[in-house]
Amino acid sequence: MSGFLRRCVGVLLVLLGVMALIFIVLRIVPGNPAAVLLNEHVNKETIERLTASMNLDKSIPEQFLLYLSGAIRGDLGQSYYMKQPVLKLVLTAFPYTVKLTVFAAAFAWIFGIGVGVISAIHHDRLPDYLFRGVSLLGVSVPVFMVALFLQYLFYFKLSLLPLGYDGSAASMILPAIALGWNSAGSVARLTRSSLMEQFNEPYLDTARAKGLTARQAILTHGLKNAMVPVITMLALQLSSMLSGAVITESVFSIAGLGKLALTAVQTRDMPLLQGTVLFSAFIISLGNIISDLINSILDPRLRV
Amino acid sequence: MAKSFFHNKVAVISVAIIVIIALMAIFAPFLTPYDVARQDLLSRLKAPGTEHLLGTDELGRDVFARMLYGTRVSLLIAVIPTALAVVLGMIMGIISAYYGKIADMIIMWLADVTLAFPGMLLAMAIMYTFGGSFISVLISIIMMEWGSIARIVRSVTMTIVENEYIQAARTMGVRKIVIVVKHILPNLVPTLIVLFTLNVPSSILSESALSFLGIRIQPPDVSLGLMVNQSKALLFQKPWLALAPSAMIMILVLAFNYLGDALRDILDPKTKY
Repeated sequence: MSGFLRRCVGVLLVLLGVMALIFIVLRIVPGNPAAVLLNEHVNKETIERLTASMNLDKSIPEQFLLYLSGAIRGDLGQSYYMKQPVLKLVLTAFPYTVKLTVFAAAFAWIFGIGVGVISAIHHDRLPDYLFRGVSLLGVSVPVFMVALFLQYLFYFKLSLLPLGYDGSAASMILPAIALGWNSAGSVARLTRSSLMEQFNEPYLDTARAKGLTARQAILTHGLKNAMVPVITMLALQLSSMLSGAVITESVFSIAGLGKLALTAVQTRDMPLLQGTVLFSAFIISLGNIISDLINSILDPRLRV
Repeated sequence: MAKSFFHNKVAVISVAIIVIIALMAIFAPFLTPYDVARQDLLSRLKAPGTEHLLGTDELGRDVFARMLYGTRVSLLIAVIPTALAVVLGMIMGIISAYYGKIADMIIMWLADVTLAFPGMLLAMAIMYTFGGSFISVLISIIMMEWGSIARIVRSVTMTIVENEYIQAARTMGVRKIVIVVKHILPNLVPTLIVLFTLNVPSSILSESALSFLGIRIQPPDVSLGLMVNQSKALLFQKPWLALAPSAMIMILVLAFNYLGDALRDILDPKTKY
């Protein structure tokens, strides 16, 4: 368990670094955001008042400490543009992104693992070549291309599914596939290679000796062991999915975190952008810890 | 090594595709008579045909010409920032593996910090500060990619250092920097080539996504992602406007991915990453 604790301390240190990095990136160029926000025609006092309320009159280290202690208490500041607490905006947007990501991950995993297993079982024969092509195509198309293609096919040509997100489950199908497509490709590739590595392991012979067919042995025993690296990948996928969510949410107009970050960039809303990025990094770190835990359940050798 | 490269059909075909596209991008002015920015409002939204190979957009600009010039941007983005990310990752990875525990801890912490960000959001923060210039994309891509490169270089370096000839060199009193340059670097070359080839497609995809979101390049500059963004509104009426630049991105990325896979099989059959 001390290994797990050490891992948590490591994650905390990383989060501290994350906060410092985003703080520096957003402030490295000099210039008073308050003045930009109010534009030049406002009188000096108003600018000064806003500057003071945003702590911009304090020194940079002081600003960092204020921001740090605020973030720990859950205060991510006030959005310039939407005039609401950033945390509230982030928490309103978050459920949409969770829904999108969960559906996308479900698609990616069912499709990806399925394709990977078929590829591995038939390795170096026609179904394998076919599916390997499909999975490489999966990792090679831009998210927006998949999104637009799905809209064209399922909304315009077949009129089966809605164009944008309207709250219904059906309108989540296209965004989920668009976002999950890339991940499905990577999951399939990793499942294939990871499962094929298990083929020569002695425990499969034992399973065969106990009367399982080769396919049963691979699917029941081999697959479980092959899943360890695939689950580690889940954490990495979470990061790329949150990246992809920016595009998917903008194409299908879903009011999630990605859309919020995009709005923040477009309206030059620094606290909102900072809060959204910070929150996503926090989610990713949490995902890393969870994937460690799942792996230690699956593979007792990883328990420290 | 060269022989097994030419025996690998996938590698040869992907290199051929990349070279052809690169040549088309470089010699774009000779391949198309049209100017990317010149508007011809009388021939707006023409379907693909003999006069305009891939049709024209909503301002009457030639799509084929714009695609060639957009490909220049994609290739430039593909090569320069990725190369810099590989160099940075290499230096950091070697220091991490070979220059003591404290350096290792700090560098791996830095790598974890940059890897904790969703790449796209970090890039958006960088664009917020520096605008949508080439330099912003450069910084973004280096920040997104150096961390995982450094980790891989670190683990490969650690196995290289285990070799007896390196231990022998150390016993003979050869300086660390000499060992790094003469013994470690040559052994890292295959890994670095594969890492470069496999990171190029991610760079292309990141740049095109940022352009697609409209926070990177601004009109009248051309970029494949921006072309798709501009044709989004006409997706159902004139689908080829979005298809041409998307297909170009896909072909480029696919070729680099196939090449990376093939190179890994040829150069580095034992490693898995």
